[in-house]
Amino acid sequence: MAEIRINRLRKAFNTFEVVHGIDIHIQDGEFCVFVGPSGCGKSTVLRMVAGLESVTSGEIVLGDRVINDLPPKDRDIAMVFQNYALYPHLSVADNIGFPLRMRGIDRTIIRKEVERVAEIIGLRDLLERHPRQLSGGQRQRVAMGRAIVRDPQAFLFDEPLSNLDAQLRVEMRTQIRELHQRIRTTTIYVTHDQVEAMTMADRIVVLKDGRVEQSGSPLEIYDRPANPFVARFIGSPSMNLFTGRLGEQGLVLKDGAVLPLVRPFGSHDEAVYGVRPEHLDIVEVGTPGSLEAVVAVVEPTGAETMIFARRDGQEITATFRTRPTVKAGERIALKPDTSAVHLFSGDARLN
Amino acid sequence: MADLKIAGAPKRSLLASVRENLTDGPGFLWLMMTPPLLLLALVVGLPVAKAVMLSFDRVVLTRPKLAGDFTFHNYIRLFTDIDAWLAVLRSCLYMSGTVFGSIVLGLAAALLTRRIVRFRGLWRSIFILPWTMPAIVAAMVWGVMYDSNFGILNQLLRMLPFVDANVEWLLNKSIVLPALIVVQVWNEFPVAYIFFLAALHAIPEELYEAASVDGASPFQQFLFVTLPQIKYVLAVIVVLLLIFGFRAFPVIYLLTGGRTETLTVATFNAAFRAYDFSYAATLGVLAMFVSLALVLIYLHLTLRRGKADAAS
Repeated sequence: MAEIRINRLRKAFNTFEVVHGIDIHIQDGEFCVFVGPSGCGKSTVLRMVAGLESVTSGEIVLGDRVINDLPPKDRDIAMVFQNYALYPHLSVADNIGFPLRMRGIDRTIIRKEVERVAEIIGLRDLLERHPRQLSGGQRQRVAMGRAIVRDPQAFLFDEPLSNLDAQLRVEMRTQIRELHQRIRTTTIYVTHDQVEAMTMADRIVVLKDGRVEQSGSPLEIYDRPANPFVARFIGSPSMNLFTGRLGEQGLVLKDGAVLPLVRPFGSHDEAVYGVRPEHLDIVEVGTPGSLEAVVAVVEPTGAETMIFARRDGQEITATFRTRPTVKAGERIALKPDTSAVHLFSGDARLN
Repeated sequence: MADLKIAGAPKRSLLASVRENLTDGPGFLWLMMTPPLLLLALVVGLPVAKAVMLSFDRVVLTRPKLAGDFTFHNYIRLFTDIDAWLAVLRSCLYMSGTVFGSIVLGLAAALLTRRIVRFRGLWRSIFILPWTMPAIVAAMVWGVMYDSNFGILNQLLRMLPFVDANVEWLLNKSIVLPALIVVQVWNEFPVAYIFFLAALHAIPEELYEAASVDGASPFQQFLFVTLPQIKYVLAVIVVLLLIFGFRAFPVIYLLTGGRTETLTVATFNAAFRAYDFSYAATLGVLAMFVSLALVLIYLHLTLRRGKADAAS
């Protein structure tokens, strides 16, 4: 187990730079999730840590070693791939034991270790099977078994759940989390699914276009997103963002409507006003500080009711634990909870 | 649909019933199979039958009076003919040599060009080029190079300080077989190359990445990932090249004028040097059984794989 420090890491393919000097510090035993839209460089960074991509410049430090130029086999890390990457010609037991076998470890010890791991991941009865005889979830577990069998300094997961169906994904999420709580190995987990990031991470690193947008605990990022991108990317349904100009009472939209703030801002600059769907209330039409909108769709999920409304072509989403009795086509007024408002200017957070 | 209406209902139903009767049951199967089977019988079965008949006769052009009686003479002769069995041994050596050489060379070339990105097409063309050359042309070109007095091989060899005599590549009995094998390998290793290249490209890159993270050195990756993944293709190529090697004739015959007798060359010599068609046919029957064994292995391999694919 070890901490991982990534210092001013850059990656360029020929002249095309995809990772622009990022700094990430992952503590010993931490479960760190890299999340971002496709093409944001999260997998590239992970592959550089694994040694599967070369480092253009910067430093990757594992424990107290700079591992930039070490071949993957000498880095003492384990990786779980999106497509499992199991060896099709080997049985489950041989797949799990593979890393040990490569190190020339005695067969009887390997068998013992494989059985120990099979117990942890619940594959005891399938050890003699071949990968093609397993379901997707079982294959995923074998891949994890192969990773934990040799007790590496760090685990790397590259979108490990994206090939599984929704229900299994939720199950495996919990299992991976449990596994981590049990063995406490430093982990980097890459996903494009912000729900996975929120539910699994000790710390989330949000990446976009090869830059770190924000890094912090899931709730920190949810409660205080650093910029409009993070604000929209984290949370489902997405945060509502309104562009307008700051005024005495709050943010003034183009059509004159005013969104309230806790305290007035001195400046009169353009700003982005963000409010999460759960921080909107239905109030009487005409209430000051509310936005009028026409209900487009009402989606009850049981626990929550989601209302999609439109105003001037802009969509507004609101969620309610209660069950408001509104219908599509109805005109409603939505009032933001001023204490939970996010205010951005350009790429920076104002409040 | 409009056409059918014009054609009229009764006619169509008659046609349909005829068709039904035809396509139902094994009769239709045999009807469809008969033309190709007849053709095969004509072009394959007939010559084979004729050869078998010849082998139980004594058709020797220089002694026409011997012909006409059923006899085991040729088979008895075959079992006591040391030269024939030496020819079989030479065939086996030739086969193993060419198979081994072609596999090693083809696999090496495929591994080398697999990850090449620049000039990929050029590299592939270079490695496939020898295969495009007919064996006869290849044999003639190598014949010039092997020439004892003027060949480039001896010219190069003579540049070495400790070599002071020309090597009789094709006349020296202990060198001629390897020399022939080199030509055959040069000519046919591209077959192995193409097979291997295709097989290598079918291996997911992720397996190598997983293996390298799991601590496998490049050699271990070859041993534990590449080799198991191309095992089946390897087996198929081995058998295919064994068949090629066993049937090889032009290279050996052209370069040695038939002095180096493998089973095929011995058969040719028996027929067209000694004019003993019956004995040649007997050698041919022996060759046929060897080929048959190889083909059966080949079919077993490929059919079993086909079934496994269908099952998974």
